[in-house]
Parts: sequence; C-alpha cells; structure tokens
Amino acid sequence: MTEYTKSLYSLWNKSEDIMGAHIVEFFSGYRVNQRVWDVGGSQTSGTATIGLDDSINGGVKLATGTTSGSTAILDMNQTCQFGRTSSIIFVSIHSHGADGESYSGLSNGTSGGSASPQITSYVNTGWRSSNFDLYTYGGGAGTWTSGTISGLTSKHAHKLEAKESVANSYVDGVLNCSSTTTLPDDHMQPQFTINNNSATNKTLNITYCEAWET
Amino acid sequence: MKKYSSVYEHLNGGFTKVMKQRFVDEFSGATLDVSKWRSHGSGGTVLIDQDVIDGGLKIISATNAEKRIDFASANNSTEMIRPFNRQGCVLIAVMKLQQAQYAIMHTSLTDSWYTEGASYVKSLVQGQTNGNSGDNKFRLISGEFTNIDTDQTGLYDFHNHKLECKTSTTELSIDGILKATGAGVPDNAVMPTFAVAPSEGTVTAHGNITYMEVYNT
Repeated sequence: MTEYTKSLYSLWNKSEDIMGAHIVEFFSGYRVNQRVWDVGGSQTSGTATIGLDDSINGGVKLATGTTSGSTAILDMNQTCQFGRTSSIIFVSIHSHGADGESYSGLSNGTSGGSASPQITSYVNTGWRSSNFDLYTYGGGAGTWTSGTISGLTSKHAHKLEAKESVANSYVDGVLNCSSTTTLPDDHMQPQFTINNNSATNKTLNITYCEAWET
Repeated sequence: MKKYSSVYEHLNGGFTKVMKQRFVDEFSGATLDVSKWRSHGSGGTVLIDQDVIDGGLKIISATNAEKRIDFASANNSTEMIRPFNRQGCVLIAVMKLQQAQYAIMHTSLTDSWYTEGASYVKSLVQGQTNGNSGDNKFRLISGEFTNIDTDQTGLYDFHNHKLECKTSTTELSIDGILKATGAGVPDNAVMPTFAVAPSEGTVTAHGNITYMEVYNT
C-alpha cells in the first residue's frame, strides 16, 4: 500500500498505466472557474443564468429564469478531450418535479439538445416519465432509453459510462438503464443543459463533476 | 493496487454515497486562483511564494490592516458564496506563521467578509505581542464561545489545522490531535478564509498556506 499512497495518480492508475484525460471539478469558490468552463453570453438565452450558488451544497446553479424558452448551457466550449468510450460522474439536483428539460453528461457541440454525439442523463416529464432517462446519440440518430430510477428533486450521484458496445446509466451506485444503440461516435466534453417550457424558473444545481477516459 | 478509477469513489468508498460540497486548493501555480478566491484588506500583498520549496501562498499584510482571502467579492455582503454547513463541515489547512512578532494568522469558517460583523470559528496562531494572554499560542477563537488557548508548540512551523463544526460544538485539531472544543458554531452557512494581520506596532504580518480543503459532512 505504501507504494501508492503518495500520489493522486496512483490512486486511479496502476504504475504501468498511461492515464488519459481526467477532470475533477468541485464547483466551489468565489465564481465558476472560467479557465475550465464556458459561462459566456452565448451559454444562456432569455432570462437564464449560470453561477455559483450561495447556499449549502449549492455548487453551480443553472437557472432558466421565468421567461419560457430560456436555456442555460455549461460546458467547455467544445474542448472535447474525452473519447467515445469515456465516463462521467456528477452530483446534481433539479428544482422541479415536472416540466422543463435537461441533458447532463458528455456531449459534442455547443448547442446542447439532442442532435449531437452524446451520452447524457435526460429529464423531461412533459413527454417522458419522471425517471432519469439515458440519451445516446451517434451515427446521426438518437435513442432515449427509459430509466428505472426517479427522484428529480433529490440530490443524486449519477455515473454514465460509454463503452465500445454499451452505454450504462447508474444512479447512486445502482444500474438505472443501458443502451446498445446509437452510441456516441465522436469525442465529447462535459455538458449540462437546462431549458424552460413555461414561465416558471427551473434550476439545476451541480456540486461535482468528474470525467475520464476509460 | 488500483482500487477505483475515479476520485469520487476514493473519497466516498464507492459510488453509492451522494457526496456533499467540497473545496480543495493546493496553492500551486503562478498566481492565486481568482476563480476560487478574492482578497480583502488595505495594502499588503497576496502572492504565490514562487521558487520556494513548500511555499504555497504567501500573504503579507500592511502595517495597519488585516489581509485575507475568502469567497466574497469586494467588500460587499451581497456577493458571497457560502456553501458549507455551519453544523456539519470540516476545514483542513496547512499553514505557517512567518512573522516573529506582533502578528496573527488564522483560518476560519465565517458567514461574512467583514470580520467584526461575522459569526465565525477560527484556528488562530498568535505571535508575541505586548503581554496579551494569547501570546505565542495556537487558539480556537469565536464570538460564539469563550476563546480557548491550546498547548500546541512550534509556533513558527507548518501545522495541519483542522476545524470541524458539529451540531452544536466546534473542534480544533492540530497535526491530528484534538486540542480544543468550543461550545458553539457559526450562526449561518459559511465560507473559508485565510488571513494575516499585525496585532500591534508597525509590522507587516506574514503567513504561508500550502493546502486547504473544506467539505460538508
């Protein structure tokens, strides 16, 4: 054990491993780290905002505001260092149990939404259930896979892993659902998107994000 | 020997636990990370102690004012980020008082950028002053309970300070040993700080910090 206790590297890797891209973000401090995350004007529309939250376990808050159709996107401005076989863990909570739409996970592109290569946790009770669905996009098509775990307004630890032939969604360590179709076919970045379909403020708070090549 | 592939799983013993807010800064690099910190106080300097082994961040105060870093904007109470639970959080800081006389260094969990108006708990290192009872002491300080002096020695060495706010008490451990328990916690959600200040006279206080970690329990 002694051999491995002095470095972070050896926590994650065997000594013969060459570690791929890996990012750890706690979303703590005075403001969002803009060296890493893009929170510029193009990341929000309508009344949406992005910023660290002055509340216990607040992390970063994406808020739509009260104008219907407002969108907030937090990503790395298309710095896509994670290949199509990558994993992401994030801890998040939605403010609402109904309406609104969010994609959280790994995605290519800066526009958010469903038309880019991605593996994301999808929430939209308007036409899906109140569970955390898995959305994958690759080869020019996308697939929504029904999740089995609910609890939008509780904080959960999500893990999404994209492998060669399967994509898995875990919630709090439990397998939520899997997909073997339309797996991501391009490199990706962490991306969190929320949009509003009513005049009610919808928020998504994220207190942790970690992504890595698998 | 590899156990987990993620930091998350190492910190939480696996993936079934929902981790709470956490903050880490190693104070390495060319400059203070201004996405994490803002500095306050008239005069003085805040800079990475470059080209010094284990230098970390160095703060030097002016001769008449505290110099500190925290999660607040300019001296403005409406722009603070306080994500930590006053009744369930831990702060760990590795820090060293450099100035030999008339200087104070502390790390704290506080609800305000403004010291006098804040509710806080502090791990404070006080150098020699002019007969103050806290002279040459490591102390647990708060407006919520009577200040407690500890028996910790090595005033001008690096030490690992750990403040833990529990439901109704605050514990100070230094280098892994419990040194003091205060009968109170801050009044509101808190943010971390690191600061140095002259206690009296016309000196510039000087302290270094090489690591800080804060997390909700």
